[in-house]
Amino acid sequence: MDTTVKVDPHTIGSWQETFERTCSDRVKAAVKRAVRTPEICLDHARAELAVSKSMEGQEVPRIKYRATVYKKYLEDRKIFISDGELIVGHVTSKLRGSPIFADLAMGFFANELDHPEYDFQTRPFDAHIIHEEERRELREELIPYFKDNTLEDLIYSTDEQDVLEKGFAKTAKCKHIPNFADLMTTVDAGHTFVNYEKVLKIGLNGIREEAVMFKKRNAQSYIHFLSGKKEEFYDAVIMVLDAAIAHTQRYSRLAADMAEKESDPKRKAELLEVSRIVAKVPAWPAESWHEALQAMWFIQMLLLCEQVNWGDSFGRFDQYMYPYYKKSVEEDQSMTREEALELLELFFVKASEFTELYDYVGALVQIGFPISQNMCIGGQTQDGRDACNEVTMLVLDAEEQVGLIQPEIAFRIWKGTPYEYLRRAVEVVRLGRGKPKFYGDRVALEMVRTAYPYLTEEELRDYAVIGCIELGIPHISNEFSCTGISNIAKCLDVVLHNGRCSLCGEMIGLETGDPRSFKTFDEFKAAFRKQMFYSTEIIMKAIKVEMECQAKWNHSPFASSLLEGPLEKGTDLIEGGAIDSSFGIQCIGSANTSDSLTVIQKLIYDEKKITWDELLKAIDDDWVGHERLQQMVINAAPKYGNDDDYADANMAWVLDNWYDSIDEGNQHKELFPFYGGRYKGLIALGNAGCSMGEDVGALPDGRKSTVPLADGFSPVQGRDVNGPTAILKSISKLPNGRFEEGTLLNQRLTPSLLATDEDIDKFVTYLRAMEELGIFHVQFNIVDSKVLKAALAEPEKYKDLLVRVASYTAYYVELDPVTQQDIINRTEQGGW
Amino acid sequence: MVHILEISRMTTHNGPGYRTNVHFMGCPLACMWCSTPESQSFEGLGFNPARCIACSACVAACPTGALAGAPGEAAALDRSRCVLCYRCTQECDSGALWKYGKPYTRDQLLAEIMKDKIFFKHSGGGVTLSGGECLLRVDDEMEALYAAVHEAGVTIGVDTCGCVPWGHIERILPYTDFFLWDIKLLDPDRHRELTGADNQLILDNLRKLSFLYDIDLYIRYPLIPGINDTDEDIMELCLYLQSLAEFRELHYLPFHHLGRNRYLYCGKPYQMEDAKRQTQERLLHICTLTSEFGIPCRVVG
Repeated sequence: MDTTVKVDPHTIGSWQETFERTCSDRVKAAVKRAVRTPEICLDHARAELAVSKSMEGQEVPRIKYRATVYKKYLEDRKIFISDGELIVGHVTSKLRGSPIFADLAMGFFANELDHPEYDFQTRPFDAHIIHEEERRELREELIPYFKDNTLEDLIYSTDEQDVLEKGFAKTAKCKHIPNFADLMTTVDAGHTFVNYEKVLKIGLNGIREEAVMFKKRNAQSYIHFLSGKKEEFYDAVIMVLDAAIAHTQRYSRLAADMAEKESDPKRKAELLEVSRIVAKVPAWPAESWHEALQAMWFIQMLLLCEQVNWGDSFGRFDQYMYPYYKKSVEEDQSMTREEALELLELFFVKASEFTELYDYVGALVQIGFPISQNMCIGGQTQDGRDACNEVTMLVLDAEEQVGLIQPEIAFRIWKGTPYEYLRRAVEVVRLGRGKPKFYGDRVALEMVRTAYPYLTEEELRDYAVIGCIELGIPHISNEFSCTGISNIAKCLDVVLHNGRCSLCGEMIGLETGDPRSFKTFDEFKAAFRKQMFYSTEIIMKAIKVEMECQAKWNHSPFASSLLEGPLEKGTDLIEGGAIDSSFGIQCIGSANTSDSLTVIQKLIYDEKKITWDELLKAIDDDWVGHERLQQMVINAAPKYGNDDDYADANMAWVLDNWYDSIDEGNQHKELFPFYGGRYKGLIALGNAGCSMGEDVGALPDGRKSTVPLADGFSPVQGRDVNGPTAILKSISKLPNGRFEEGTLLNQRLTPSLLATDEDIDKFVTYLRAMEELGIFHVQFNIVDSKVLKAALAEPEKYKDLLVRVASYTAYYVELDPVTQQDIINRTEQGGW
Repeated sequence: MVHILEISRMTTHNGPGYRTNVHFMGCPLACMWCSTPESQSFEGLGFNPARCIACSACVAACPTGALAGAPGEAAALDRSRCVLCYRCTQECDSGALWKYGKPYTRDQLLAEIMKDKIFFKHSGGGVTLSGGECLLRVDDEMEALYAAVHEAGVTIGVDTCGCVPWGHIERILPYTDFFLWDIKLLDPDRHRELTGADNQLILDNLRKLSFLYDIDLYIRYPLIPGINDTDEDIMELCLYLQSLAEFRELHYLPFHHLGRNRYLYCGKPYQMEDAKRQTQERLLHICTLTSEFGIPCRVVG
């Protein structure tokens, strides 16, 4: 590797390197503080231990247990306020920390703590600092107490053999199955937009009043069905709301105490103001920009204290926050735009001050501390006008200045999005952090129309983005979007071997026949379709098991109280309380699959240039000794992503047929957890292309065994040669509207493409074309491989270099070497 | 049927908006700094040894023994023995050997151009026909192509060296939206020496176009280190341009080495090894100098 790379400031990465922050010293200090290796925080696990021990021998409903743990955690946990902070509250006791939930995590802690390869501190990705005394506490107290009584144990104790053998990677005999339903075995749900707007308006006390009212109504109702269970739910909700309000008062006292000891009169006044504000919000309604932001952060923090949370998102932030901005800055003029911006910047920093810790495999499929708090801006109002406002611009300005790993910014664009907002967004894009991501209303509305047939067009226009790219409707959606992964490249692998795993020989699929026996390409496709249907059905069975266990385990009364549905139904979100619960199945490996089909169609069936024997022998030998053939399949067949109708048609076929299997599943009630719901397909998920690739043998597209698959539905690495417009065109031919939960597209662009003012203006038109083409989502990695190589050589200097890893942003130097190399290898789209 | 070297989509430096750039084969000039040297002929054999997988299939296919190398040994090409039969390219699976110039029918080329229509619409872009020299062969077929693109509502830019019969230009003028007109050197002798052709025709055509037709005209001037980029060269250029009717803009194209590998592939010697891209300061100076002549200019690329 070239370690002497020098960056030419005129060409490469220049925006990133020459960008100078103009924000206040207070924000700069906060940003600096937040860039650090995360630590673990055991406070939550300690609360669980204490509560568990105190309840030993008693029959306590699980929801009461969870509420009691929450209360105990909020009472006992260490809280602090950092220097200069105006928005306060940390999720953990550490500056950047991951909260550890013992009865979710101790199973994998038992296996991975101190493991030579997997240990959290030394693993090659998503490393966490664990102090020696914490290790001791884990080894001696927490692991022994919890390790055999976790959610995983509950899930894997199912007696459904099919699911154990073919649905869960952890229990499967063959480790290369195409199905992966293990992502929600050690975490909570955490994919909602709670009703922040409502809390800002009526406060947690207002929510509590509603809960009390519903509890009373339940007690008085002549319908006794499940009324006892509902009573437990309402009691838990009231308990957690009280605990949450009491917790904010702790912060108020802390700020007052600190003010008393503070010698600097300016800081003293700030602390007193903080103390006043947190005494008021979110317990009571917010009335100013500062109060609203503090209330928002507290709600987010309180949610994160309740669940191992991946993706609870802010919804349409610029819409519901604008009235507070307007009041403080425009009407009262109690603060300037600059002051309002500084507060928002500090809020952004807060969103980056926590992480989540996943087990080795869970982290591997979504490398880069995957938490995704999406902040949706732009788009249309309910009545179809443009929704951009001053807060939209403020969010873009704050992102430019802060530029940390969180929050995610989701910019909805439609044909009426004004030029100045798009232009500002592109200026932020060129800083190379992959933010904001862009969403096209045209196809998004088509997607939500399918997913929410009972909503009006006005309501659908309020869609927002949860987690990575998941489409949802604020306050009503509970998107369990990570319930399963369907590795269709592996399905293809299995079809090519008549039901067997090419890597270990185990029978893991349907016997669909020897490929040599298929007379036509259609026969082959039919076999492949059958295999995909088989695989999807198994995943759904596994999801049913997984989610029914979740429903017994992960009650979240606090989050439930802030959604539409649970309070009315008296049902926790984890038991289907939300108005709309859905289960996401992720499609992985579509581009490699499609290119492989094109090779088979063109070279075997259309042109008869090669035979099945030759092709099967070559992939069984991992192309070794078949280099000519490998070159032929790479060069003589068109590839998806080049705006070539022949190749793109196969991609459309693959996605259509895979989605047919989802729709088929939706027809079968027996494939759902007891509370029902809906299966939705999506293409997202972090780093799954790399880790899922390890399970897939050599493929007919020339890919060698176990190397990474293409991410999302991006073209296969290096096979797209016609530039970014061709990729968008290829994607526009796919059944995008069917993917009810969203699709993800990464485009990596060289910085020179956005070098001049004119280039930026042109890029605005690129985004408009993207929206008109019906592309759902696109995000841009604007960084040059020279910079990436330099970062490999001198990681210390590039600690804050952000790159996109599929669906979220990660610090490049924190990624593992394989992913780092993969990012370098992805086609550099310098075509223009 | 036209022969195309390559089609680049979403280019930003070839006129307004995002443009699809079509490189035609064949050129009346052979500039020593050319960045697409393979396009100087109408066809040719390309060879990139780095892509060779040493299967020796080409060696067996070559009727004249121009290709040598045992299996397991990278092929070696002796161009003096090659008769351009291209049999080797049909055997080569790895793309190490190929024929320059892909034939397109008018409809095929039109279809390729139309693929980015939505991006043209939003960005104000279109197609830029380039080369080689896109005006070297202008026949009925070619005129029909221009007409068809024009008819489809796509703007046409013509990137030309200008060294073509006036009749060719006249024929496509009704369909053309703008010209990118290259000027390399004003001194006829040096022009002949370094590009292989006289510049009289180029300058005559340009004068005619400039004075007789109301069409957007961009002058392009590649800055070749030590050849045409001194202050004197720039001033001479500016004085000449002042003698023309008004045009849109002068584009300076700084020197680059992006064509270096292409020389290797088409078997021509690269003579610009020691040349260096003009510094930012130098480019700024050149632009300042040009502005003093009242000529709108900028650096492109």
